[in-house]
Amino acid sequence: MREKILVIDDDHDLARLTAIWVKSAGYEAVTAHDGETGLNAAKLHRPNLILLDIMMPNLDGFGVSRRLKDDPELACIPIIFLSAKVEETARREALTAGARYFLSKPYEGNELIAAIESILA
Amino acid sequence: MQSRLAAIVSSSYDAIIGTTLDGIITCWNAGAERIFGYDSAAAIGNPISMMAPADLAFEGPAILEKIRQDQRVDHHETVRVRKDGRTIDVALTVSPIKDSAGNIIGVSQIAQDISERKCVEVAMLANRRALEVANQALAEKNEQLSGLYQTAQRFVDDVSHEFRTPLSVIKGYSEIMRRGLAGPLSQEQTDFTQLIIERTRDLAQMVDDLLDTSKLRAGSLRVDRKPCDVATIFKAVRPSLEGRLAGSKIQWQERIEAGLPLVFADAEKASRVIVNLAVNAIKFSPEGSQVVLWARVGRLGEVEIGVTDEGMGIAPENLASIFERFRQVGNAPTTKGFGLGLNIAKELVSLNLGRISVSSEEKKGSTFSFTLPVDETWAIVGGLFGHLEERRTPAGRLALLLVTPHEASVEELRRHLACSAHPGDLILTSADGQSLVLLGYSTKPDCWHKRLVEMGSKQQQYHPSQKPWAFVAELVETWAYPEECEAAGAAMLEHISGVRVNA
Repeated sequence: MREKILVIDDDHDLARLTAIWVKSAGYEAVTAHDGETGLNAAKLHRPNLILLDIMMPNLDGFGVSRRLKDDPELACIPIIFLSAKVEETARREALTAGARYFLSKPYEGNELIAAIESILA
Repeated sequence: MQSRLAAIVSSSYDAIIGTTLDGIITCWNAGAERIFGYDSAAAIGNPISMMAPADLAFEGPAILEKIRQDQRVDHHETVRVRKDGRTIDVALTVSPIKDSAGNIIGVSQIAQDISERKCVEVAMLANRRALEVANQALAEKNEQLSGLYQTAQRFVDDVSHEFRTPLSVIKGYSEIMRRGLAGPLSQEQTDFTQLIIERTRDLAQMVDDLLDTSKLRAGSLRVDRKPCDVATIFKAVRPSLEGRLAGSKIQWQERIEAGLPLVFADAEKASRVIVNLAVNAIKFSPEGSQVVLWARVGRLGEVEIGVTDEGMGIAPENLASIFERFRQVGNAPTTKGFGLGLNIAKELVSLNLGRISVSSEEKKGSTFSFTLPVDETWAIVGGLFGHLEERRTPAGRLALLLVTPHEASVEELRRHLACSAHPGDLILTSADGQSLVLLGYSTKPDCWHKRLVEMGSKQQQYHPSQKPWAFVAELVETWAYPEECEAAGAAMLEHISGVRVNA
């Protein structure tokens, strides 16, 4: 069975783009456009990996990550943060919040796929 | 005795006046004549009140009343009128004259002309007021400028962030099209899409450069130096370069000298310098030529990392200013930017306590290289000194603090200090692994306590949900710098070695 990856990004064009990259590497992609919907999608689809944007209205990426880590059934899903924030503090906060990887936008397609493969291999 | 006293009175520079208890002048010396303008003939027999200005007429009777009660008046500063009508400032000392039985029989007044001193005082007061006004104006201007500067910086930060999402969309979809993931493209369409990708990548780089420059100028870029190996740094730069290399026809090579020691550096900053230099080399190299990323031990035992290309080279007259802001390397017609890249590289190398250099020959190629200190106390502290000297920092104090965590691991505290300390501060781990040694430089003499408080509050700013770090910081030693640079360097090394060995 193909591994499932959940993409959570409030920018629809970017979420779609990320999903295309994910599918091009042979994975199944599910998208969500805000934090709450993303959390529900995680509960529903039980993805193998989540690609998570940081700056989103209402519930941001850090909040989503914390809620995932608080849920024993979802806590083990690895997270890759994708963000336009490039400050080291954001990077550090992301890693503290339980992220396995942090990619700055705009990222290279290869970079994204390499990061996904390094986690799912 | 009497004649000696009379001689002293008559030759005194100050006015010495005798009066009756009613204030009638009985004695008038040459000093009084000089100060008040009346000769003794004109003064003696007249009331002393003739020299008091109308608005101070009440003073004389009050003073005489005190004298009658056997009291003195010491250094009473007031104003008197000269014979010519000019007012002068005087200091009066008034005391009773007694007979041999102790009865008060008269009054002695000594008046000192203090007009000149008063004039100076008034001028000084006026100057001080003027200075206060100028100072206030400067402070207001300063506040205004710093507000404007912050606005400009915030603007650059916001713009950089806002640009990233559309850039991601343009670059990502172009890449998908070029790879044929959205259907087949003609050769011409593939070439055009490649152009879009490359120019978007340049634009993204410019946005990064602007953000970096803004942070470097504001001193807000944080440095997290720790022992790391060069092979790992090389590995980290590969993903960023793969896209560039795929679009070019460059032969890329990596060479690491065998047995290279660990370096003490912020690996992320070192990676960015390498990417920066490598991207330039790729841009300015002709198709089929070679670009080599290499690392070796340098002349002074430091690690040297460099990028050598076989490109067009740089004219000797341009070499000296190549690391300045807004300079462009060479004159390639298709490569445009802000010319910030090499300046940023230089600043980042400096944050890593290293030096950057370039050697080049026109039409043959260029080598850009930088140094990193090896993971040894002498090399790291030497690097800090070189850095301070090179920057010609104003006189200040170098301080050594021993920071011991409380309810946290040393590594956690190190990470925290790295993100809240000043970029120039050096953080080392003590030999026993129980404490951190923080070496910092400041131009403000009493800043160390403040700086520790600041470190604590910055952590709150970044991680408000966590409780503040508890740590014990002890100011071990401070040295003046740069006047005592050499002695301080030796003492510091000894001290750190002590901390490292004995702690």
